[in-house]
This record gives sequence, C-alpha cells and structure tokens, in this order.
Amino acid sequence: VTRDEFLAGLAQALEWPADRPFNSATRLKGDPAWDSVAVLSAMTFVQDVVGVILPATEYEGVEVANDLVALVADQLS
Amino acid sequence: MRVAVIQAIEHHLPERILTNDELATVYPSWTAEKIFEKTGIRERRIVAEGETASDLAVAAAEKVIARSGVDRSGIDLLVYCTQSPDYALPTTACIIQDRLGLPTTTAAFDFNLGCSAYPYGLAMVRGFIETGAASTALLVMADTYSRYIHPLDKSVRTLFGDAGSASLITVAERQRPSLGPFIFGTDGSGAQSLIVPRGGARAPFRHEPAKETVDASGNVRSDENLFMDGPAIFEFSVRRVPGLVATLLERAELPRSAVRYFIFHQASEFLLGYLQKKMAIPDAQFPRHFAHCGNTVSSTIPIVIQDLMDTGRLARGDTLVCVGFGVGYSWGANVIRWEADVRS
Repeated sequence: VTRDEFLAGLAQALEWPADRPFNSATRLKGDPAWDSVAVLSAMTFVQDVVGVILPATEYEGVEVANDLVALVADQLS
Repeated sequence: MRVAVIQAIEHHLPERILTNDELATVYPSWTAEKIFEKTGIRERRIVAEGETASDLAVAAAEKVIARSGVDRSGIDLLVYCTQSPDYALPTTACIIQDRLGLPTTTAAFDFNLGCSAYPYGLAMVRGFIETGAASTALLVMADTYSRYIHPLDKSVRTLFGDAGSASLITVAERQRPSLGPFIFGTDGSGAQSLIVPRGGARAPFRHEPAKETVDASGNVRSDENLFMDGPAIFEFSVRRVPGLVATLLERAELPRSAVRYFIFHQASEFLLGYLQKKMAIPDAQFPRHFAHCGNTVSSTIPIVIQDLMDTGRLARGDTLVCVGFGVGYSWGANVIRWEADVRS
C-alpha cells in the first residue's frame, strides 16, 4: 500500500465528504466528520493495513491525517 | 441427574419510541440512515418519567410466568441484574419479590453487571438449582441507561435502549447439564471506559447543577451522565471476544459446526459485524435482534433467544453459545443445550 493509496482508502473509510479535499495535512481534530464512529472506522481500516488492532490510545492524539499515516508508516511502500 | 433448564424467556420494552429520524434532528451531522448503518438500530425504547428498571423487570417476569404457566407460589429463587437499581438500598430484587407476589421463602438478590450479565446469571442460577438450594428460578435483567444519558451525547444515545427480560429456569432430570460450561473474566483497568462517574459513594451527587462539558465530537455530558470511550471498548472487545469463544469451545469439546447459534451481546452493528467477519461465523449461526430496541445491555442475549423461540428457529437439542462482554471490563460466555419443556 502506498501513502496515497492509504490516504484514499482512509478517506473512503471515514466517509469524508467528497466536496472536501483529503490529504496528509487535513485536520481531523475538531472536524464533525472525525467523530466517535469515524475513529472506529479508522481503527478497522488501519487494522486491515497492519494486520492487528492498534491500541485505542494511539488515536487519542490524532490531529491531522498524517498522524494516522504515521501509525502505519512501516507498512507503506 | 438434577440439572437447571431454561423453560421460557420473555422481555418487556417501555412504550416511548426514540427513532433515528428524531435523533437526526438533534444531531445534524448524522442522518437517520447513517445512524442505522453504523449502529444497526432503527429505534430504541425509553422509559417514561417515573418508570424504572424494576417496572420493566416486573412486566417481563409477569409475561414469563403467564407464558410458562408456572405456579408463582413455587418460585423459590429470584436473581435480578441491573445497573439501574430503584434505591441504593434495599436490594431491588426484594421489591420485585413483593410486587410479583412470590412467596417469602423465595431467595432474592441483585447483582450489578452490564453486557456480560446473562452468562453470570445463568451460572448462579445453575448453582442454586443443581445444589438443591432452589428448584424454580426467575433470572431477571433490566436496565434504563437512558436515565444516565445526556440528550446531546450522540455517542451513546444512538445505541442504548431500555428493556427488561425474564428467564424461567427450573430443575429437570437429564443425562447431562443444559447450562455450561462457563468462562468468565474481568479487567477492571477498563472501568473508566464505560462509566457514570458520579452518583455512587466515591463521588456522590452534588447539590448544585452538574457542570457540562463538550467533547471533540461535540457530545455534551456531565459527570452524572454515562460516558463511553468507544474506541477503547471496541479495542477491548475485538481483543477479548475471539479468544473467549475459542476457549469455551475447547473446554466444551465442541466443534464450531455443532453450534446452532452464536448469540453475542448485541452491542452495535459496527462491532457485531467486525467480530462476525473476524471470526468467520456464517450469518445463519449469528442471529441479531436489536434493530427495534437498541443495545439493551443485560437483556440483549435473552431477547435474541426469545426471538429464536418465537420464530420457530430454536429446537430441543440445539446448542447455543452465549457471549457477553462490556462494562467493567467484564466478560462471560457459556454453552446452552436447549432442553425447554415449555412450548413457545
């Protein structure tokens, strides 16, 4: 999975509004789309990439999409 | 041998219906369809002002007494699970015993668990019956989480509904146990992940109005309201449940193909769907029945079993695996070999 593929898949998993760009700099914290359900969607999407469920605490400090990229950086090509 | 057998199950829902359409008007970022897609719930039932969990419990118990035709004067055990007791004391089960007109020879007590309650309750009732301490038991569960939920907290208001359920369990002569084996577990380090922080002895209610806060998702609550750390609960569940089921099947020496139904606590569609996929359980073995009532905490498993009975999908000799997990953290699982004498 490339970084761009990961971000595209993440946007889909989060059901990010199509009329708003989604890239590594996209701010999640405070955005209505980054709600409790979206966090669960991110957890399962990341699990699909790295193969395991990462601790929920890993998601507490997420501010921008790149913070999620950082969680799986080892797995990206 | 003397064994405990579930004879009948009933449940009772309060009248007031809270629909997704109604919730969508309160939470503009979620449509009614999105709420259903994520939770698997179309509506939930909410108690009226002044109505308590014990009212739901009594109604469910009256239904199961009527359905089974059991003589209430012969009921000698009442086990009641709730996290919404009528009072700090006395034990709500004592009040229910009186309201149901059960004899004063009835043993009655409460226990406090949530989503893991049904396996715990079955194990306790089995213990009473198979040791000869009781012969005819009501296992009653009821919760009114709506009492704890802030109306502007969509993270929990979309999920939880109020309900009561009652299972009639009696002594019978069988060649092998009907209930069990059981597996239980606890990890109290997760206590803060699903909690009503205030109102107990550790942090009593204040006299002044509770201070409300808004979280990053816009949910409003105070420390007198239910708080759920969804990601933490999800992580706990997906880490714990598959191993719990595997251990139970191993202890029961049961191949998965011998299980008619895996009846999981009906937490949410998101979690159930994830667990079902992860554990590769076919749809036919994985019943759901909560779209009409939401996550009813301690009553979700008996409500599913009753639906299987009522729709003719449960037959004598079927093997069920019940799996409860959640607040605590607490979990439990058990096998039921369906042996009911009472026809649904």
